[in-house]
Amino acid sequence: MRIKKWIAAAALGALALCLPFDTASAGKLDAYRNMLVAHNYTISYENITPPERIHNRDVVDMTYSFGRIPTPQNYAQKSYSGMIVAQGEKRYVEVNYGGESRISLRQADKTFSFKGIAKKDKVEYKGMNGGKEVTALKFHPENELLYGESFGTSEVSRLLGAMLPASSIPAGLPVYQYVGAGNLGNGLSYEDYRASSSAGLEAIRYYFDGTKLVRIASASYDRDEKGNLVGHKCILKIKDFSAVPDASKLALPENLKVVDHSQQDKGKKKHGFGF
Amino acid sequence: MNWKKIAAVFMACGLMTGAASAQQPAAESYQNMLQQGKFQLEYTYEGESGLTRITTDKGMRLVDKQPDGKDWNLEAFAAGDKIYQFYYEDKKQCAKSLPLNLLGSSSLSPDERWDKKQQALSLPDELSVLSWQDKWTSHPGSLSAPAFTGSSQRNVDGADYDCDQYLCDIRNQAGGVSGQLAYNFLYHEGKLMKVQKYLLHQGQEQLLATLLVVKLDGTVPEDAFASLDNIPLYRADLGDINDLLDVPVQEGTLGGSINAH
Repeated sequence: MRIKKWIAAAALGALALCLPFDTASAGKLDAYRNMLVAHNYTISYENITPPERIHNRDVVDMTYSFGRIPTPQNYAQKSYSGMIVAQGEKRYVEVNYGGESRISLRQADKTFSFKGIAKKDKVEYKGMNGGKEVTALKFHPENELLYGESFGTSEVSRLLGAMLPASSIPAGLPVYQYVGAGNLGNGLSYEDYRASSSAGLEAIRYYFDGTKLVRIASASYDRDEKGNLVGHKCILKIKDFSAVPDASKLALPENLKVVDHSQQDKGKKKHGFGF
Repeated sequence: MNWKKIAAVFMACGLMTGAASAQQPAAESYQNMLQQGKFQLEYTYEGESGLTRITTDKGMRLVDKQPDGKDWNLEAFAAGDKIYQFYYEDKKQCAKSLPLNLLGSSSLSPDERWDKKQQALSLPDELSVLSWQDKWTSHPGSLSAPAFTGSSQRNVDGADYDCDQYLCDIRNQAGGVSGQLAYNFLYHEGKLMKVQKYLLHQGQEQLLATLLVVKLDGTVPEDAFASLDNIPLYRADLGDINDLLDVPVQEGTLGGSINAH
């Protein structure tokens, strides 16, 4: 009798251990993961944890990575908000530092970078040099395949990128694995993911209100050049994450004039590959 | 038993070695030249103006650029366990140095962009295919080492070339291949002229860049490092009190002792 109880308890325990892994494929995050994969969404967020000061001249983003939007000098230690809109091959990525925002817009095989400057109740768009000209550059699909998708700053790219399925994340980047889920009461629940390697560790918690993604929080540790553990945290408040792309953002603002440099290498003759 | 499998493996090996031996004879000498660390390379890209020159000899690497067809401007230099960058102060050429083990340190000044200087020392992506383990060249973790896939004759822009093709897989975390980079090395009479870089992705091929090799040979002129002459050398900004006071620490002069190597 007692043995049977023990077996039952053990079986229940084993089941409980397995459960979280089962729900990994049927979690609340899946709906959002699918939107990212389908390239069809509007995301609006606020990063309420500005990066910490690490150098007396750390006025630019220390981390260099392809396709990421660098932080302008005056805003290095300020919180920021942002928006990402995707619809097929069109993609709008904005990082907003309050008075000013940096925007990158992709339309099929061209990309544009420009600024948005808040003026009273409207936003005025300008080229990166402050004028009305915006340069069209050729979109390089290989960078996304090699280095991963960009969602704005490095931090946001990492936290949103961790949601993508393994087949959409380049090898060599941290591997985030589902570790568990739970309820916090008041209708709030969470799903936890973790990546660890010899280089460091990161835990990401995705918070849900009902089924709605409302917050992403991460804590990470890595080692500096002296071998000391250094911790970082980042909290994103998700204001909107829906499968309805905001079409108004996917067109270039009317006042901007395009200077096209994307055709520069179109003059090259194309040659076949096969042998 | 699995004799069939074993035989298949042997046949595959045979095929691979057979294919590898079909590489252009010149490819091997270029490989040796780049890997043994004594060469001078000048290159540009189709549709771009300006030349970049990489000189490597005796464990040193100097990169300079000629944007306008006239002057060569110093870009980055590495020797021993240090990396150097150059700038002008009151129209006078100056240099800053950083020990290699501090590259990537969080105490570096972001203004000095040491990461960019490190990249400037790397071989152009296309040529790194022949010297994948180059000390100054890094590759993203998603990119596999190149594999020689075959040779052919090609006509590009009206000229005939012997073409060697190499493929690199772009891998994803699921273990799959999300795309491939293909490099066509175009030789004319045993001399490397151009390298075309293509992306193969979702059944499509896209020409990404064409590297034009202006000069690549294994002899380094005597005066190749002569432009490093009597340049005041300062220590990299490491966020200490000297940087706060804006008084860089002079370490000596770049030139004399290095040229004497």
